[in-house]
Formats: sequence, structure tokens, C-alpha cells
Amino acid sequence: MFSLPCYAHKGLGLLLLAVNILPLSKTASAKPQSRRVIEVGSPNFRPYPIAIPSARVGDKSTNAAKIALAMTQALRFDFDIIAQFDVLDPKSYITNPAKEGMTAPTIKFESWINVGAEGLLKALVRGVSGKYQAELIFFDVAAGRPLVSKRYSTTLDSARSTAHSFANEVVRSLTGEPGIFQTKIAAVRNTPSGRELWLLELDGSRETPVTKNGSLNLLPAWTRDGRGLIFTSYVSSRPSLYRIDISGGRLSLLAGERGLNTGGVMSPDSKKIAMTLSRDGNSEVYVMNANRTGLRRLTNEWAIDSSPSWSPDGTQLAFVSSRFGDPHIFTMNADGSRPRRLTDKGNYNTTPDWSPRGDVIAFTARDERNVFDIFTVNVKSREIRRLTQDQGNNEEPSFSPDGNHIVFTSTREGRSQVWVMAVDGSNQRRLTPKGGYSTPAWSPFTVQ
Amino acid sequence: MLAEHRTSLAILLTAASVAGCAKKTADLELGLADQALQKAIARNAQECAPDQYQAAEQRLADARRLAEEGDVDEAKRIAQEAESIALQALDASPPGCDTVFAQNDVSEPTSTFGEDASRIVDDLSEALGTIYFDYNQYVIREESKQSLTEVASLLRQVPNTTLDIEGHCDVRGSTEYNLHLGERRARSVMKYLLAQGVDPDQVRTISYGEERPVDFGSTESAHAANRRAELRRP
Repeated sequence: MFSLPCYAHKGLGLLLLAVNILPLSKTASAKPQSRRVIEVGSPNFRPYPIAIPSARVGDKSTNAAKIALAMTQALRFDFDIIAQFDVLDPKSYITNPAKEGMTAPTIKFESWINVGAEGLLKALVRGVSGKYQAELIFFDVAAGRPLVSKRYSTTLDSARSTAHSFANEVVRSLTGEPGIFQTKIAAVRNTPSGRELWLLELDGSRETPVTKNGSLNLLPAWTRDGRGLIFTSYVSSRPSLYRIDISGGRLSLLAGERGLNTGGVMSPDSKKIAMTLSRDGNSEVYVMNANRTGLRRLTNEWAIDSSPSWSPDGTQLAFVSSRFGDPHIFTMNADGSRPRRLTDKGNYNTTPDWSPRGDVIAFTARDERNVFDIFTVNVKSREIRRLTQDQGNNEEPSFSPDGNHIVFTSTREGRSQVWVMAVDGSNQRRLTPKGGYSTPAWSPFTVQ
Repeated sequence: MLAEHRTSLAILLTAASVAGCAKKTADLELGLADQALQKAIARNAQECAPDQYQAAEQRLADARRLAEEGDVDEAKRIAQEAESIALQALDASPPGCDTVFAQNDVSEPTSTFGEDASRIVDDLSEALGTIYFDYNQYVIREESKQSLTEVASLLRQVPNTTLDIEGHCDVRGSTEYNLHLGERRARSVMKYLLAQGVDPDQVRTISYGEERPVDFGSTESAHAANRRAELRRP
């Protein structure tokens, strides 16, 4: 069936990765030839090579050294996990970071050019009257000048978050779009008593529980404001749809119809919730207002219709339907009109997630060897692209808010873990330290 | 001037022949769909797979209407859908599936009292258990029908007794689709019991999808053991 080449390995993936580097001539203030827009999804790819030397410590305290280490690790993680950048191996750096200054005149840019860097990210941590201050500067190596420079007061606890915040600034300066380094992943974790919702930091540094009710809590989706999760829980013994704040607290009921209430997803304008209900004796896609009024059925088929995902403009929904026997990916208008079949290869295509860029829908397909892998289908051309192959089962894709990356589960190392990759399948990275996760959902840019 | 006329005539002729071809093709699709539907009828799909049968029948009617209205491409497409669904209805109606429905005519006492009732409830508890399904299917297997018929017969005799039907799936496939597949399995069992005269108030369904496996392995036999509906008294 799907005979397209695989982009699962970073080496090959980076060679073929479609990332476009274009001058941002309209908004650049000075030396526009040095500033770049980096966008996944077009030809002429070359990842932007960035050097991240160890953060310097401005005093002798142990805490400052610990903060510097945490920040260095977080910065290297960030630019490694996103495919538009390539973190140069610190072992290759010629310059001794401890001896080089933080200002342009004190930096030997030629030595950074010689190791292949286009960007240089430097950090300095020092104690200032009992508190810690971090100075972070991002330099354009070819131009020999700083592009972004910020000072933060920080602590050991917040060091990683400070680093992520600055990394977002760097991405914004190069791409004109917000960075994803302060986003989170919601996922279901298997526990002995059931399934609970957890939040994962993107850098894998921390996991926090959201539900703690010992029941089955499934299929989390983010509210658009980044404050809550919509999910299905059996806590009342019937599988109903609820909302919960990510900080925990009480469940508020969204839909408790007879039968299954699953897969609730909020529309881009936050006014509606699409979901799958079996109240009328058969699984169909429904939509209602976010205040629980105006329930309306969008599909009416003998088969299973489920798993709606909104197009970024809110005018359409992708969904799964087995109306022709096997489950396939379909789209329809948000009022249920004009259903259109998108996939015709294979015999088990499920879990559609519409890219925030609008062009493709990611989904899980079972191939001819009965292995599950992640694919994308172009909404207009219906062109299929395979993103994973020969690495266990890979399932349940969810797009990053910038549409450049996909979080998914993989069994390549045994039990199901959470992984991240670029939208073309390159740069695959594991996020979780151990197994037992399912249905990851990537947050909006801002999590509150 | 003369040359121009010739050209338009040629275009007209070409257009006519193209339309002729297209019409012929739609007839073929309609014929195939009709054939599939007739086969399904012969296998009593109206009763054994009523959802699919009705969907196929509706589509074939739509396709015929579209063909009459001249929308040949759409007629062709809908007719193909009708054929595909009719073939599924056929698949879902194995030979002999109609015979169990015919058994409904057997009259039995519908209520029993005292010792008889408690003995029947005991028999019912014994008759309950687990039935299994094929991969990605929710059609009741032939081998399960006898025990379900027995359950139905006992349930009819003790109308105050209720039954929970839990639908389950193997771990392969997506969480949400499996929840809905599990629901279909549970509902298949329920429909089977209702078709045998059980009161709808006596049965409840719930799906746990792939979340409550009985076998945690990943072998084919583990998967087979997990693709099930469990019948139990609440």
C-alpha cells in the first residue's frame, strides 16, 4: 500500500528534510542578508546550525553553576528537538567558553564560523545580592552582532523555564513565529488502578498528574486557552465527557449522553465542541456550543463515525468513518455537509489531527504487515506521506501549535512511549523516561 | 465560415460519443450494485445486517435517481458505494444467519414465579459468559449464537432480571476507534437478544475499548482473547 520512502532516521531525514531558509527582507532592520525565516515544508532545506557553548558562571557559588548547567542542557535540548535547527557538537568548539566574553567585540566570530555555526547562543549566570541573574544573548555569527539579548532573574527551579523562554525569543527572531519550548504534552498514563491524565514538560524534565480518580480517564484534548483538558472519564461509571483545569480540581460535565461520549475537541474560536456520541444507537459525530447548548448530529451512517478534528479556520472537520467497511479518514464541512473521503489505501486509517498550518492531516494507518505507522495526507492533493517505518508501532499523532512537529506514541523500545518528530518524519526524539503512555496531545503555544 | 461549421459539428459528435460512453459506464455500476444487493437479499441481509442493507439500498436508489437526472459521474460514484456496502452486508450475513431469527416464533412462558424463577436465574448466571469476535468485526459468530439464544430464552422467562453487556477490543488500533468498536460489539449482542424477544429494559451496554484486557500479551491468541463481549448480571 503506502510505498513512499521512509524519513524515520535523522541522517537521511535531514538530507531530505524540506525546510526553507529565506531572507526576511521586509522586517529585518539591518543586515537583512543574515536573518532567516526557517519553515518546515518546502524545498532547499538546510537546518540552521547553532553553537551553544556551556553557560558561563559569574561567581563561585554552587547554585550558579547548577543553574548554568540546567540552562545549557535546556537550550541544547530545545534546538535539538526542533528540526529547523542543528545544534553543533560542543566537542567541536574551538573557543574555550570560560574565556570568551559576552559582548561582540570580545568574541572571535571567525572561530565560530570555522566550526560551521551561523548562530551562537551564549549565557552567563551570576549571583546578585542573594538572587541569580541570567544574561542570554543570541549572535548572528556572519554579521558579528547580537540579534536577541535578554536578562532574567532566575532560580534553580526556574532555570529550565528561563532557558525555554529565551529559546522562544530566538525562534521568533529567526522565523517570525512563536516558539514551542514552553508548550506541554497531555497524555494518558497507565496506572495499576486505571488510566490517568498527566502533563509532560516538552523537555522531559517533569511530569505532573492532572486526574487522580483511579478510574479510566481517556483521550485528552486541550482547550484553546491552554487552561484545561477535555476528556472522557468513566468516573461516574458511564463514559462521559468532562473538562478539568490542568492544575487539577473538579471535573465539570460537558456531555453525559447515553452510551459513549468521546473525543471532544474545541473549535478554533472556542465556541463549539465537536465529539463522538453513540446516544442514537450508533457512533456519530456531533457538535454543540461550548456552553452545552445546541447539540447537533453531523453524520448519519450505519457505520462508526468518530474522532473529529477541526481545520484551523474552523470551517471543516476531519473524522474517521467506516461507512465503506474499513475505517478511513474523511473531511466534511463544519455543518456536516459535503463529506469527502481522503484516504483510499490500506484498511485501517484512524486518529486524524489537522495541522495548524491547514495543509495536511496526520493519521495512524495499519500497513500490509499489520504494523501501525504515522502518515500525513494532503487535504487538497490527497498525497500520502509516510513518517514512520520499521520502528515498532507508531500511533496517535498530535501536531505542535506551530505545525512543524508531531507528538506520537511508539513501541520501538518496548512499552508505549511518547516521541516527537518533525512533520516530515525526521528528527525523532523520545520524551518520556519509561513506558505506559497513550494518546498524547500537544498544547497551544501558551499553557496557563 | 464553412470550416467553422465543420469544427463545431466535430465537437458535437465527440461530445455525444463521450456522453454515450459515460452513460454506459454508469449502467454497469448500477448493475453491479443491484447484483450485490440481490445476493445480500438472498442471504437474508435485511435481517442479519439491517444497517448495511438499508444503507446500500438507499444509495442504490440515490444512484438511480442521479443517473436519471443526468449526473452520471455522481451516479457512478454512489453506485460504487452501494455495491461496496451491499457486499459488506453479504459478508455480515453468513449462511444460516436467518434461521435463528425464524426461531422467534416459538412461544414460551414469559413470566415465572417463586422457586422456578430463582432456578431460572441460576441457570441464566451459568449460561452467561464471554463471546468472541473476529479482528475489527462486530458480527456475532455462528458458534456464539446457540449460547446467546439460550440466554435470551432464560431472560424472557425472568423479565425482572437485567444484564450488562461489556464490549472489549484487543490492544491494536486506536483508543477512540476501539471504544466505538467495543460499543458496536456490545450492541450486536444486545440486538441479537432483542431480536429473540428480550425486553430492551433488561439489557444495558457499555464499552471499555482496549482499556480492560484479560490477556496482557501481544500474541495472536492474546488478541483473540481480548476481542470479546462479556455478559454479566449487575
